[in-house]
Amino acid sequence: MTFHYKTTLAAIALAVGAGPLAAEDFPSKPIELIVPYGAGGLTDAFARAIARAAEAELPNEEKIVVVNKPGGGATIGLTAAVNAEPDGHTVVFLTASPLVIQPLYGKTQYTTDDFQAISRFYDIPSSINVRADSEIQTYEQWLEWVKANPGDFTYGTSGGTGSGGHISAEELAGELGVELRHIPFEGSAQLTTSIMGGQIEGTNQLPDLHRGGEIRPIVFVTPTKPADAVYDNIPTTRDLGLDAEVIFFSGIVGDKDIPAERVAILDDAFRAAMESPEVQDLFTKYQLTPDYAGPEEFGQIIDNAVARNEATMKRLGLIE
Amino acid sequence: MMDFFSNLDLLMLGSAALSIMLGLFVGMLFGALPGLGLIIGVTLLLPLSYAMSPVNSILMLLACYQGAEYGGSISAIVLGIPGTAMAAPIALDGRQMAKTESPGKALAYSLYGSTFGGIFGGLVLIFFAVPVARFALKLADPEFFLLGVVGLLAVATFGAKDFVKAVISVALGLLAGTVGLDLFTGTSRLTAGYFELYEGLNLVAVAVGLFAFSEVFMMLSARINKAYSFEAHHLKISLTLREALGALKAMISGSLIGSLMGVLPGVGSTVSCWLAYSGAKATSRTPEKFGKGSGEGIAAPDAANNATVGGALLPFLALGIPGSASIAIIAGAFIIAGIQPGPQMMRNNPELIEMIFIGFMATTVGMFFMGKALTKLFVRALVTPNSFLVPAILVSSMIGIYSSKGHFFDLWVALGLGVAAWIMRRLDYSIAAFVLAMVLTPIIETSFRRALVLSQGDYSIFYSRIYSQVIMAVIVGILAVALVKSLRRLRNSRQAATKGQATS
Amino acid sequence: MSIRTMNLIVYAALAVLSILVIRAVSDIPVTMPGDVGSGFLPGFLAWLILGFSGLGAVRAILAGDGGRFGAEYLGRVLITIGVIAGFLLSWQYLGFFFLQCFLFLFGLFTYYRWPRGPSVRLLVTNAGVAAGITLLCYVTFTYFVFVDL
Repeated sequence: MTFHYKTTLAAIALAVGAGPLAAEDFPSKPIELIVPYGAGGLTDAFARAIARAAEAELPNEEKIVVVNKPGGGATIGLTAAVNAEPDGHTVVFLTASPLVIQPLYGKTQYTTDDFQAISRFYDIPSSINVRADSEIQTYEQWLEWVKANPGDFTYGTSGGTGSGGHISAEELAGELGVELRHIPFEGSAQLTTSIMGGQIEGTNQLPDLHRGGEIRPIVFVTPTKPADAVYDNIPTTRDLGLDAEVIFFSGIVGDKDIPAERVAILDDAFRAAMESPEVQDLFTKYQLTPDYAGPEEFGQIIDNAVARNEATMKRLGLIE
Repeated sequence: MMDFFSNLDLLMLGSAALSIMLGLFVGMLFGALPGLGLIIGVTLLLPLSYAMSPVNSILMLLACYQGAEYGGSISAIVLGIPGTAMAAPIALDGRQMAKTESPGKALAYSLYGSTFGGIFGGLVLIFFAVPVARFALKLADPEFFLLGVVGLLAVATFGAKDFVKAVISVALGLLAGTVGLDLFTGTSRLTAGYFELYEGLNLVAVAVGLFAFSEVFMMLSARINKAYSFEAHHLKISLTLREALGALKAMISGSLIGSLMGVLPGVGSTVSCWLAYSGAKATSRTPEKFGKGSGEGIAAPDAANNATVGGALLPFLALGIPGSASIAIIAGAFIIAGIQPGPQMMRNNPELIEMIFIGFMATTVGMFFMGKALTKLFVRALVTPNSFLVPAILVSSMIGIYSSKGHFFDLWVALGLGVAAWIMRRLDYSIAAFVLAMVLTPIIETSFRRALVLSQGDYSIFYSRIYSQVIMAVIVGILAVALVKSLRRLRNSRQAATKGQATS
Repeated sequence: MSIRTMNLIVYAALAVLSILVIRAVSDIPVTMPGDVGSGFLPGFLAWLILGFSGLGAVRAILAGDGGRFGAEYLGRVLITIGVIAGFLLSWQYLGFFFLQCFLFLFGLFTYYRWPRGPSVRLLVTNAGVAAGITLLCYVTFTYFVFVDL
């Protein structure tokens, strides 16, 4: 119904020839890009670079203002985004957890369905790792070991129980029919100390082999790997044909009621912004692979992630 | 090292120098103004960290720490009112010398002592932090848990006026630290449905509420239009070489005591100042001059309180365990920057550590020159009546809290805590212990629980390793000291009571 | 009010707080093998506070009344707390920060300095200092810290 009304309006506008009206009138004021994390850090840096580059691509020469709204495990920023007017002037730059994990616990004031995917820029790879000097060298050896020693493979994650790292490792464990033991950590510094000191057997995190790190990736639980030749021989769960896979995406979403033509304008600007030298520099600096997805594909990634997370979280007893 | 220097560029140096100067300025100013002091200065600067690079914000806060340790002496000498508790011994001789000789000379002894102590503390930090951190890589969760407990016990037993209230302060601080999402179960604890609390209480709001707001309320309970008066001449701050050399021994002993006391958790500048004062008196060739304007009596405690800064940073940078409330608040800057201090930082961010070391030395040198140039200005600032200071501090506190996260919720938390702290401080509860405990909670609780999850519930993990056995011995030692102390106090009060009955 | 009474009031408040905490954490389940649970530490601390408050209360009753617990200029402190709360409310719901900041400063300066004897000069000084501080905040936070107040 709404749709018809809007197309009619657009048709009238075109018929009258009154120049740019409905869609072309967007944006009519600065766009607020909410970053649900504090200033500083990878996500914030990317959001700011994207915002600066996308300004140049937007019609009407409007600005993009980055607003940090940290807190509540990034849910405060997302809540602010769904509470804003759904006119496309408020969007949010986010990572996977507040969109495809947090709402499943049922405590957020929004659900995943309240959002409309706009553009995805990159994924953060993650792998199951062991110490470099471990006797386990390959995926096959690892699988043999964990099958022979159920419950003895302790792995740490930097986000704690119910975080993406925990859920994705457990999804893999479920698919392989093995038993792993999760040890939560806060931040990756302690995690690395702990695996180096032999407190834990492994981790599920972004490996740092390419920077001379001392942990060895065994298998990537993400379909992407860091852009470096040292990872060429490490399989992903997708390579192995396993039905266990996680995508730690970073991208921009907005309220589900934002009109489709405005979503398209925003998406075009963000996609073009990815090509800017400043953004490309950040990709190189953090060794991430640019991986653009538009509203439709990004939407499917989100839906797929929710379905997988829900199944694993139910199996783990995190949700009912 | 060579390529470290070649990587420096002028812009970076310039911004670092500016940050250090800003920190020193605020530190000296807040240290000098009676009642405000180091922690409030650091707290109010903390929000600026959000707009700065990690290195700059850390250097700014360290400079503030250094500056405040010296600034406290300014009002002690000029007005006879120590600006901070740790400057109390300096008031003894400083005030006397200001009267009998000149305030400038007393300030000079203080500044030379501070600079010497600062450099000494910095060297201790530079030489010992890396080895300690390397060793700490061998430590695991059980030991970190026990180290955290050592810190808390030290605070509750050494720094406290009243043991029961000190324990309650520590327990309340720990409780405040548990607010938020729990790492192990993902459930929210004590958040009462507020999303603003999911990531825990905002440290800036807590520190401002407890220190700045409560202090302001205390100031308001006294006369606020009083303007201090003093003679503002003879303020040339310099010593002859002979005078400086004469105080050298006192500076060395003060620095040794200060840096050692700084390393110990929970002891802090106040204790080290008094110890340094009596230490210098005991070893002085002219002990009879102490209390009557002895230069050594000024230089020793001042060297000690500045040496404490470097010492106090050592366990924080090397182990990630803050040992005092001021360091706990500086820890906030590391958290804001996403840096986890501890053995891993030494490995992963060696360039950051080098910058901190170099910057730290720069703060002491900067303090010397700024002290020489600006002490007169700070002396003038002393005449600002509280009726102007109070509203200005309130406004900057509120902006500071809001800019840290942008939640009005945090402002209300700070106001509530400020009122509670205003009442409880006057009943001898310790807000410093509260803040330290709050910052230590994640270390203590997480390490404890993770050790148990790893051992699958086997408590022997806490005493089966040699390192944990050593720390256990330290804990037993602290408890024994505390027991002896309280028994002695009990006996004293009994004796006093019986005496009282006898006389009545 | 005596210090003893005030001590007892604080102990009572702490006891109420501990009981609230104990109730709030009592139903958090333990989900990981070996873990003591999310509720363990808060619960333990609450019991500790409860115990020590009891101990303190007994001690306070046995000790003398410790003198008067009063604050000089209590009215001024309470009014200031009220003004802060009013300022926060108006900032939260009206949001003209810098205008309100100026008024807040000017108001408090005038209130605190009034006993010095009202005069035009006093008002002008107060307004000048308030404007100066407000301007400093504006410049710092808008151009250097980039916080939208």
